[in-house]
Amino acid sequence: MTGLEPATMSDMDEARRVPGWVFPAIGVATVVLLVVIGLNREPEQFDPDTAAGTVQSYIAALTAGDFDTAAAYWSDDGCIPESDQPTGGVPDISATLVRVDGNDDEATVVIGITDNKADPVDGIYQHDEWFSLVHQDDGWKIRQPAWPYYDQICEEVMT
Amino acid sequence: MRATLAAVILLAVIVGLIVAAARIWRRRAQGGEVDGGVDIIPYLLLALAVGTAGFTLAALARSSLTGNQLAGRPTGEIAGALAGLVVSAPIAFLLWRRQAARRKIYPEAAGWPVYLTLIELAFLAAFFFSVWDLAGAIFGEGAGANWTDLLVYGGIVAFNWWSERREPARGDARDLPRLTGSGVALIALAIGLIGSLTWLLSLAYDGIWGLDNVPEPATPLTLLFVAGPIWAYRWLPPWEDEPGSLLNFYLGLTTTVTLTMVIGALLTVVVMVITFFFGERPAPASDHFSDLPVTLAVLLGAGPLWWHHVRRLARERTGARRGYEYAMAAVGLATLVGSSVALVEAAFTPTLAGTDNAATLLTLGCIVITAGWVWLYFWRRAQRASPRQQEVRALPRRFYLVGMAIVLGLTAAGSLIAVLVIVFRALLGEVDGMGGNLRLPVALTLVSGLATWHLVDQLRDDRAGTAATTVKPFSVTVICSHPGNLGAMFPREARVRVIYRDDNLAVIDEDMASAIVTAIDGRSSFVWVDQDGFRIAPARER
Repeated sequence: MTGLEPATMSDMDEARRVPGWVFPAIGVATVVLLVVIGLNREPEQFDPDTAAGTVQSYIAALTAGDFDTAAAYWSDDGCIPESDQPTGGVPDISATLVRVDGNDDEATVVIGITDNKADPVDGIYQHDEWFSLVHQDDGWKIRQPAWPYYDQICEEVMT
Repeated sequence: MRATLAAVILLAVIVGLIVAAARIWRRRAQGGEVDGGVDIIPYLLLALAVGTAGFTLAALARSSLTGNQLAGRPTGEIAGALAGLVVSAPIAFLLWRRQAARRKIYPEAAGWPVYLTLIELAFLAAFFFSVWDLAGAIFGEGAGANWTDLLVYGGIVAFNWWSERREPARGDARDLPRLTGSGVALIALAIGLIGSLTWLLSLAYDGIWGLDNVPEPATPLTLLFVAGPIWAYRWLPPWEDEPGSLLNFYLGLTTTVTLTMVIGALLTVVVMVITFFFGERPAPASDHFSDLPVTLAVLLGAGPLWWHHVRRLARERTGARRGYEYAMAAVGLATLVGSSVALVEAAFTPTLAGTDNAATLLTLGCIVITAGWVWLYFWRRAQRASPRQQEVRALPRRFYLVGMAIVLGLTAAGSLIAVLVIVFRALLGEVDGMGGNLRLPVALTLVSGLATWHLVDQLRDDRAGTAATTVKPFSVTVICSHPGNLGAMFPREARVRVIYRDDNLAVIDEDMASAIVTAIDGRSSFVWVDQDGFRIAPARER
């Protein structure tokens, strides 16, 4: 016996083994990092002359409680809510742009909305909303605004 | 498409899990080692916790790093994801440690491969969906490219493979994770391959005859280049052991599905040509054949996949070979019944003046002929198989005969009830339109009834043949490490004695069991199994 024992396969396996705390630590660090990034995230600024930018301005007006300004984005024709006051009050939401389809005259903007006030036990609090826009002389206008006026009877305006 | 894919994957996994559970149950019933129990519930909970943690982590990454934020901060998404992680991650961590410790004591517990399978299924499928979405977003018109999904799902899949490599699955369900990965990747590969071929062939068609809509190539090409290597990594390396029941089931399923696609594509081409020449008022050729690129793409994509998998089936009548052939016979018979009824209905439906149903009749006629040929071809192969006794007792044959008899018998009974309702209604005074109403249920009753009669008659023949054949009692002594299901494959007259070896080099799989039974052919014998195969020596008749 020389006192120097050769390493066995199981010794080498043990040496190669990743310590048990490594993966949980990486996981916790990743989650903390993502939360910090997410909470410090500010909305992007879209060009207000585009369809997406119009919807952004419209939602900004709604979330600020400025319903007169929001109503100014409605198209003159189509089905317009009877009141510019949403029944649920000022919406407390965050929104992301999902998709924009269309051409120079008409566009559909799909928005992902997360309702921050909704009780999560009661049901869905994340949903997509479709905004149908038409290009008029003074820029893009929203036709038949649905969200957040679902419970209102809309009035058909013929021009 | 996603719903269909998800249904196919789910169905395949459920059947695979049932097969694995049945084998484990049978092994336990035979007095095999309990291996610390199946230990399935903690692994299912672990899979649920890891799945929840993985998908909520993906949601958190998505809301923090991707997407074009229009208004507000994503506090709602972050709150939801954090809530999911706070609940699921500690459960996943604790269960992971608990099960890791238990695996050292019971290394063959079936829960570990089941867990690996579920995670592979959920996250590899999610990974391919995210590849599809990202390619669509980058090359198409999508606004939000969720690249974080790719990282999170890809990372979880890679971690799952690393865990499997570090602690390979053992026991009867050991092949399940790799087979599941191979299956999911194969579906993605097939979609990518067929989509890419459709684009190429559409370009060619457009160049020659003109085509309204040439599909975009970016998404299928991306899927092809991502799924190809993953499929090769999961499927192509040699399997450590001889083919087991799960591998045989997988081979049977893939060969059946791919051959059905090939035959369907060929049939579509033939129907296109026939209806062009013999249908009334044909459309311009360029319009009539506009689906040709897609059809040829299916043919050229599924054909090589079928060829690759069918070559891996043993030429002998093993469980996999029988499963494939009886499954094809079932597909042929079911299509034959359905298309025959549709043909009768179409042939006798009164048409309005000038209405052209020649194309419908020609199409249905072609389907009837093709389905009949497929059924007859595979059924006759099964009928010619020898030794007859072994074929008659084979499980795929029983499944085919009994399963199809039940399905078609119930169809015949249901349609007969519909016929009788109409008849009784007429007898009670409501006679208007009776002939038209009766056509479909009568045709369905007759055709499915005839098919059921054939199947039941065959079952009776099988049973009579088994009873009439007198096999002398004989004894077989097998020296092996594990006999597998050899005992179940011998006729009742056999008395099988197993002498276990001390090593693990001579395990009898299904193919070897089938070959041993064929070679012995009812004579008393000694069977010696080692790593090179098996040898047989005659024994004195008892």
